[in-house]
Amino acid sequence: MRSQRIHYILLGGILAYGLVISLVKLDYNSVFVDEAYHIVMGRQLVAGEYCPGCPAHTGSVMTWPLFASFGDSFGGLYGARIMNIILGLMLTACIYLATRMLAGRDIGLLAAAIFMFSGQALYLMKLATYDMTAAFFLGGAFLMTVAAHKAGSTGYEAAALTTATILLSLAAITKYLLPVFIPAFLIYVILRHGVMKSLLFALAPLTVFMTLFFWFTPYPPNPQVLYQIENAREVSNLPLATIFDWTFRWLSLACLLAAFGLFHEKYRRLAGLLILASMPILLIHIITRAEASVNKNVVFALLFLAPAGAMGIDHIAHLFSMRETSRAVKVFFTISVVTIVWVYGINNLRWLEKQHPDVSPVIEYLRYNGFDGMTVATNGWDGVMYEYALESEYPGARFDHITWFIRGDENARTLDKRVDFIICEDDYYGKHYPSERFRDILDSDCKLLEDFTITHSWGETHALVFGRR
Amino acid sequence: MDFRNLKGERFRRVIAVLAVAVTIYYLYWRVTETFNPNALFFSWSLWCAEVFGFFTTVLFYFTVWKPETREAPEPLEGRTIDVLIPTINEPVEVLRKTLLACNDITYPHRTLVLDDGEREEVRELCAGLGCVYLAREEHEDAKAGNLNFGLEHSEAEFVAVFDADHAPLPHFIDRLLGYFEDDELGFAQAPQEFYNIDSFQHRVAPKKKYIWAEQGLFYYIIQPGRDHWNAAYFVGTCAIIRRKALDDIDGFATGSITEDMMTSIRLQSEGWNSVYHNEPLAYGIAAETIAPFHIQRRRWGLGGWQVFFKANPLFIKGLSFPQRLCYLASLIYPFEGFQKLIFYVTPPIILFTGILPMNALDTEYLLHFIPYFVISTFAFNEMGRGYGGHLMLEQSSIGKFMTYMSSLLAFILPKRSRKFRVTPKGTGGLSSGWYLISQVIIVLASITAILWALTFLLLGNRSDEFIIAVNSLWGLYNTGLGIGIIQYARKKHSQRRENFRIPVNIPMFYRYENGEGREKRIAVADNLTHEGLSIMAIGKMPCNRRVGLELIMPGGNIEAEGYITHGRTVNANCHLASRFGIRLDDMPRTYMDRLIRYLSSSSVSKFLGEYSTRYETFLDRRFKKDKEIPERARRVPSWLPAVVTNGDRRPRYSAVRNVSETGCLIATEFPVEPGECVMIRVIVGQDIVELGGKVARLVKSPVEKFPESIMGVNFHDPCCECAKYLVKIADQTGELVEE
Repeated sequence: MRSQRIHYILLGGILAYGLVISLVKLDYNSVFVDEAYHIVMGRQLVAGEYCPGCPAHTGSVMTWPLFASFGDSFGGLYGARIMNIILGLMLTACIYLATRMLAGRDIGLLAAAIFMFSGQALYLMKLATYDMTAAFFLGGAFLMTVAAHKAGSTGYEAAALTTATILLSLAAITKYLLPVFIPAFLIYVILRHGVMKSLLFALAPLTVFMTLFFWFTPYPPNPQVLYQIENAREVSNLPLATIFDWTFRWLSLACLLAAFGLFHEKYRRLAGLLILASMPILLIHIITRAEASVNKNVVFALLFLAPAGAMGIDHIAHLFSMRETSRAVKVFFTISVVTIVWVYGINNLRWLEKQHPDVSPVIEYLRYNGFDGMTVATNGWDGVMYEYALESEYPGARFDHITWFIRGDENARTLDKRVDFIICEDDYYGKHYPSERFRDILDSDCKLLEDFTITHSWGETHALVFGRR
Repeated sequence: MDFRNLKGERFRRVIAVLAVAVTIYYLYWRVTETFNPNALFFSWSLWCAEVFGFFTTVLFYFTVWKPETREAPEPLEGRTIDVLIPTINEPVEVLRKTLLACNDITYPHRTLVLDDGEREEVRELCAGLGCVYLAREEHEDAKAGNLNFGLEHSEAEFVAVFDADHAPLPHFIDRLLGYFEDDELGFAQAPQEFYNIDSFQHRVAPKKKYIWAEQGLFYYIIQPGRDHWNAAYFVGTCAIIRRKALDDIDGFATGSITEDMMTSIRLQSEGWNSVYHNEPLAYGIAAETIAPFHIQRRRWGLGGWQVFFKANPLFIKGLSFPQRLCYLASLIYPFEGFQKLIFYVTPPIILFTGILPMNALDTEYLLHFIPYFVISTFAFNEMGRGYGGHLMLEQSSIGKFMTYMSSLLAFILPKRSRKFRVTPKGTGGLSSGWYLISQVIIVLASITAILWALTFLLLGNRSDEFIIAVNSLWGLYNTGLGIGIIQYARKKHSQRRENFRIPVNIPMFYRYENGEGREKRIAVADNLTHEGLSIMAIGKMPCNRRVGLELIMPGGNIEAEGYITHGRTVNANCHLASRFGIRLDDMPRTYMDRLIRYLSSSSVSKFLGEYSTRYETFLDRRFKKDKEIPERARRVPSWLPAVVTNGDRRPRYSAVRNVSETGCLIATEFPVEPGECVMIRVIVGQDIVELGGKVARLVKSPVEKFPESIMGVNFHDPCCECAKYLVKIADQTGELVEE
C-alpha cells in the first residue's frame, strides 16, 4: 500500500515536473509562424469563415486549430500553448498506463519519466502547433491497442479496438505524416485479434471515419499531402549520413536505452515490438531524406521508444547492480540513468527553444514605431505572426508578402506606395527566404531602419527593418 | 560435460569466425578513420586495449575450438603410485581432512606428506594416520623444491599431487590411471574443484541451482579445449604424473613460483602427452575473501611473468604450434590488468575533460561499434559453451586488475617481493580494505566524473550531450562492477563462519533436558561441518542449552554433544517448526574422522552434483529438442524425517528433501532399485503421515563406504490429502532456511 502511494507520488512528480517546466518559460519565444497560422485558422473555422492561405501553411488540418482558438480565446498565445501542455500531460499518462499494462508499474513510471524528461516532449508541449495534439491521439491509440491486447472480454476488446482506430484516424487527420502508422497498426491487429475482429473493429471504423472526413471537410487534404510529399522530395534528398545524424541526434539516448531493452530478461520481445512500432516515422525521414520538422516528428517515435527505453533502464539497473538482489543498488542505478536522461533532455529542450527566431525585438519595434492602418511587407510568409502579435494594438494594420506590393515589370520594379515597413529575415529556421531577390527595390525605394541580431541555438541571423526612403 | 552431445557446434564456430572478421574490420576502421589527432596518446591507448582484447579472444576461440570429452579407461593393474602432499603452513585440521581422504583412495598407494613447515603436529598426524612424513632441511625452490624432495623418497612409477587442502575422492586414481596405458602420456589432470561455494570466487543462485565459479571457464572449457591440442596443463594439484616423464625434465620445474605451468611446458616440450579428465575427483578450499584471492592471483601473475621471460613457450623447442598458442593465451592474461585500467579510466577522462579518444562519437561510430560489440559478446558467450558468464567475468576482472598490475611490479622490483606465498585458508586474518582501494577509486572517480559532466551540461557550459550520456552509462557500468565487487568482498569478509557448512539431509535424533526428564526427538540436519550443524525439527526448542545428538549416517551412526547457539521457530500448519544452529563439542576422534570423511567425499559430491555450473546459451535453446518442459507438480523443499520400508528389508531413517502432491525426493540408505514400491512414513512431530509410492529414479553415491542414494518416488495416490498436508508444512518451514 505504502509502495503504491510512493509510486503515485512519483508519477505525480513527473507530471508536475512537466507542468512546471512548461509553464515557467511559456514565453520562451515570440509567436512562431505556424502557431499564428493555426490560431488564426481556428478562429476563422469557428466563425465559419474561409481562411485564405491557411491550408497551405497548416496542411489544412482542422483538429488542432479548433483547440488552439479555444486556448487563444481565454489566454491568447499562452492559452493556446497551455492546451498542448494539457495534451502533453495526458499523453504522458497514456504512455504510463500503456506501459504499466505491458510491463508493470515500475517500468511504466520509467517510461513516463523518459518521455516527460525528453526535450522533444517538453518543447512540443509549449509549442502551439498540431504536433503534440497528433502525438496525443497516437498515444491514445497506443493505449487503447494495449488495452485491447489485454482485454478480458470480447466487448471490452471491441470497444478498445474501435477507440484505438478512431484515435489513430484522428492522429492521421491532425498530422498528415501519421497515416504511416496505419498499415503497421492493421497488420498488428490482424495478427493479434484475427481477421474478423480486425474487419469489424478496425477496418470498418477506419473506413467510415475517413469517408466522413473526406465528405465533410472544407479543406480536402489530398492536394496538400501531395504538395508536401513533392516538396519534401525536391528540397531534401539529403545524404543518408546527414539524415541519420539529424534523426538520431534527438533520439540517440532513447534508442540506446531501447537497445538495452532488447536484452531484458523478461520483456525483450516486447521491447523489440515497440522499437518496430517506432520505425515508420523514422523510415519516412530516412527514405525521403527529408529533414523538415524531423526534430518534432521524432516525438511520434519517442512515444514507443519510451516504454522500450524504460525496459532498457530496468535492464541496465539489473545489469549494473550485478544481478544482486539488493534493491537499494538497483534503485541507485535506476536513478542515475534517469538523471542522465533528464540532463540530456534539459539540454535538448534548451536547444529546441531557441531553434526558431525570437522576433520579439521586431514586434517591439513595430509596437513603438508603427501605427494602426500601417502596411508591412515581409520577404517570407511570416507576416501572420506580426499580425497576430500586434492585432490588439493595430487591428487595422496589414501584413503581407512583399510580392503583393511589387509594381512594374521585371526590369523596373517599384514598391507600392502604401508599404510603410519591410521586414527581411533571410534564414528563418528550416526555411530560407533570400531578400536578395528584392535587393533592387530595397536599394532604390527603402532605407534600413534597424538591424536586429537574433541569437538561435544554431547560430545568429539578422532581422532587417526597412522603411520608405 | 559431454561436448560430443552439444548441439550447434558448427554454428558456434561460424559465429566465432564472423566475430573475428567483424572485429578485424572494426579495429582497422578505428585505426584508420577515428583517431583524435589532438589526443593521440589517448586514442592509441584505447585502441591498444581493444586490440589486446581481440588478441586474447582469438586465442580463446582457438583454444576452445573443439573441447575434448574423455571417458575414463579401466585403471592399470598392479602399478605403484605415491601421493605427494606438499605443505608449509596450512592448518593441521585442513591437512587432516586431506590425509583422511587420501587414506580412503581405493587404489593401493602410499601417502607422502612433504612438510616445509617442519611441524611436530604434522609429524604426529602422519604417524597417527599411517602416512609418510618428510621434511627437508633446506627450503629452496618453494613448492617445486618440496615436490622434488618428495620424488627423492619415492620409487613409484607414478606420483599423484594434491595441495594440502585438496581432498581426493576414493576413486581418484581409478579414474586417471587407465590413461597411462599410453606410454607417451606424461600426466593426467583432473579439475581443481572447490566445495566452499560461499567463497569470494563463487556466485550462487540457490533457486536456480546454479553456481558461477571464477575458474569455471578455465576448468570446464579451456582445459578440455587445450586437451584437444594436447596442451592441457598441470595445475599443481589433482593430477597424476609419470615418474619417468618427471625424470626426463629433472623433476618439477624450478625457477618460477608457478612451477606447475613451467613443468607442463617442459614435459610437453620433451614430447610427453597430457590428458585432461573433466570430472571432479577432488575438492579443495577456494580463496574465501579478497585478501587470499589477491595473494593467490598475484602469485599466479608473477609466475606468469617469470615463465614468459624464462621459458617462453613461443621460443622453447619441442612444442607444437597449437601448444605454443595455448600457452601464450595462458601467459598473457596478466596484461589484462592494464587493458582493464584503460577501460576504467577512459569514461572519467572523457567526462572530466571532454577529450575523446576518437574524433567523434556519432552515429557512424555507433554503427561500427554496436555490431562489433554485439557479435563479439555473442560469440564469446557461445564459444564459452555456457561457462562464460560475461558479467561475472567482468566483475571478477575489476577485482583483480590491480593484482595483475602489481604482479608486474613484483617482477621488476627486487627479488624479496617474489617470495612464494601460500594462499591463506579462511579469511587469512587479513583485512579486505586494502585490496579494495583501487575499486573504490574507480567507483569514486566514475561517479564524480558523471556528476561533473552532468552539472556542466545542465549549466550550459558543455554541449556534447550524447558523448556525456554514453560515457556516463559506461562509467555507471564500471561503477556497478566496482560496487558489486566491494559489496561482495565486504560480505565475504564479515561472514560469521570460519568453515563452509555443507548442505546435507541427514536424519538425526536430539536429546535434551526439558525439566521433567530427558526428551528424545527426531529432526533433519540441513547443513553440517565437523564444528557444527543446523537442524530442522518439528517442535519448539529453547536456545542456549546442551543437546545430545545422534546423526543417522550412512555407514553407521555418529554420536556427539552440542550446544544450541541460536534458533528460530515458525508456525507450520498447526505445528511449530524450528531451525537451530548447534556448535559441536568434544566429539570423539573416530566419529569426527568419519564425519570428515563423509563430508569431504560423498556429501560434497552429492551436493555439488545438484548444482549446475553451466547456463544455457542462445544456441543451446535454439537446438534443444524438447523445448517444452513437461508440466509437473510444484516441488517444495522440505526437511522432514521419515522411515522408508518395503516390508522385505529393514526400515531405515531417511530425509524427505522435497515434496509435491504427486511425489517426493528422499535421501536414504535404504537399499532399493528403480521400479520397486516403498512405504514412506513421514514423521511430523507426534504425527505419522503414511504414503506409498514407486521408485521412479535413483541416484547412488559413487562412494562405496557411504552407501546412500537419492530416490525419487511417485505416490500411488497422487494429490491425496496426506501429500497436500506435507506440501503445506514444507511450504511454511521453507522460510526458516536462509539462502
